[in-house]
Amino acid sequence: MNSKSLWGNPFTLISSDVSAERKFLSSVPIFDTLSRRQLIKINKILHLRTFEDGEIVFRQGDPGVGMYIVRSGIIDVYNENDDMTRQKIFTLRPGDFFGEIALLNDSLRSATTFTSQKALLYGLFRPDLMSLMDADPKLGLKIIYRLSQIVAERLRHKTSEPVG
Amino acid sequence: MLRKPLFRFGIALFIIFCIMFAVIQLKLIIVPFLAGYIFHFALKPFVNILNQRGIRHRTSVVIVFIVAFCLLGGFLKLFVPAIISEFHGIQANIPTYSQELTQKFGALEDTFFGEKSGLGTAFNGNDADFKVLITEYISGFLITFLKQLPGIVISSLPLFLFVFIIPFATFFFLLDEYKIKKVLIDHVPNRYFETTLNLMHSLNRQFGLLLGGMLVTVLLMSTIISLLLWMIGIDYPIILGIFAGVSNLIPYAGPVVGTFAGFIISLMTGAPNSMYLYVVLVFVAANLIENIFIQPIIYARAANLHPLIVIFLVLSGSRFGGIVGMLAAVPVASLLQVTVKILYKELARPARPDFNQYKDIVLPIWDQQSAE
Repeated sequence: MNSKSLWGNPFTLISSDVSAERKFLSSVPIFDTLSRRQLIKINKILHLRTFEDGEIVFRQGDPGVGMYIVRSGIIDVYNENDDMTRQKIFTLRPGDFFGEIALLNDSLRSATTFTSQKALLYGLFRPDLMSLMDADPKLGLKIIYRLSQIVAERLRHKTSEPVG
Repeated sequence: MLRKPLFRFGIALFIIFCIMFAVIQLKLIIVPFLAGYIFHFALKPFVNILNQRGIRHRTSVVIVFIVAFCLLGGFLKLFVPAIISEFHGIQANIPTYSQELTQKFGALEDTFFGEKSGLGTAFNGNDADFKVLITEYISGFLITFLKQLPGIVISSLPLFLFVFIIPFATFFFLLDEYKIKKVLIDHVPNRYFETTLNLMHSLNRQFGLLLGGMLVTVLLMSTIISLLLWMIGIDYPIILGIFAGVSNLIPYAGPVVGTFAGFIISLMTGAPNSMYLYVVLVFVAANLIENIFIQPIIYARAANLHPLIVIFLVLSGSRFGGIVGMLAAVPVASLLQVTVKILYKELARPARPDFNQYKDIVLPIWDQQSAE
């Protein structure tokens, strides 16, 4: 993982596989307006997590701290009902992201996410984003602005669904 | 068993207490790293300012580090000779001070345990013995303490280790904050990852606010008290100011300790009686400045504890760790308060049925389309 570099020479430059990660990140809608240097900064605060097949990423009603970006694998998103039933509402593939509302406020998770095959997920969490905003408000503003655009688009999409 | 919320909460608390125990056991090894961590909080805002102006993080850290070193060097060059000369002054004048103390205590004893009162003789039947006993004891203690103080300070700290590790640790805490955090949190299971990250961040923030606040308070109060003491003309204002500035961190008891130290210096140096009043006025003024201007700004977002709890914590701290315990009691309690709050909120939620036991239902056709 990225953190291994702590044990190496701290003065060495960023390794070559970081450029592949950067390329991937630039394809994620939240980061598509960021410069190369800004992507490097973002990459530093992302946590790459491995989830086994059938592992829950988070449950509906859990307190959320951040969002996840699918690097590889498949994630199913479910609605949990009080009568012990569940509805699959969509499937997420590499490049998709979820849980972004938790970056903006303290609300509880609105759905359950479940891996249907082994997955690598990037986690972007509110505390790290806040620290980044302290150090680089321009970058923070760019991310938050892009995020709000996406949230607004999703909300518009949701409210245009038929009622019934 | 692990599914029971209170059991999970208990396990988490147990782990935290184990970590705290390990930290206490490691004491001296931890100290330079802790100092580096504290200094990193003091320098971080300046690194952020440079980052905000578009300067690379690495360059910003190096610039801030060099400037901080130059300022520290200048500060030490300015004040260390003065502090050393004050120490030498005290050591050189010990015989005079001893004589002064004997006379003062003699006069005090005459006032309070004179022949008319009969208290001196009531104490052990021999007035002269009592006078000699108390004078010798107090002056002997003070003289031994002052003679040994520089030695105690130097021998109790492995200075060589400190001089090299503190700046080294500070530099890397500033440079690799995210990497260090990632290493620490990397092996936490996915299930507890978000909680741990949130906890780490909250503790880091609280720690930063408290320690940064303490650092600024000590610097400001030491400077203010030293200046005020210098203005009233007491001897050794810098040593006294620094001592009072540090002891001021002990809630409620700190200012009393500082005032008492001022009295002892006045007593030793044979200052006029009016000096005692001036010393009291200095500490009252310094405390007003602290309570009105410094505390609300520095500690506004940090420790928020009831005064009774603070007094209880300070007394408990003194029981377990002496002066260090008194100093550390409030910050440690404040960190524990944050920890318990977060852990309770996240781990003591009611357990829910296993997700795999849920029965799948299919969405209506239009819902499936909109979900796609």
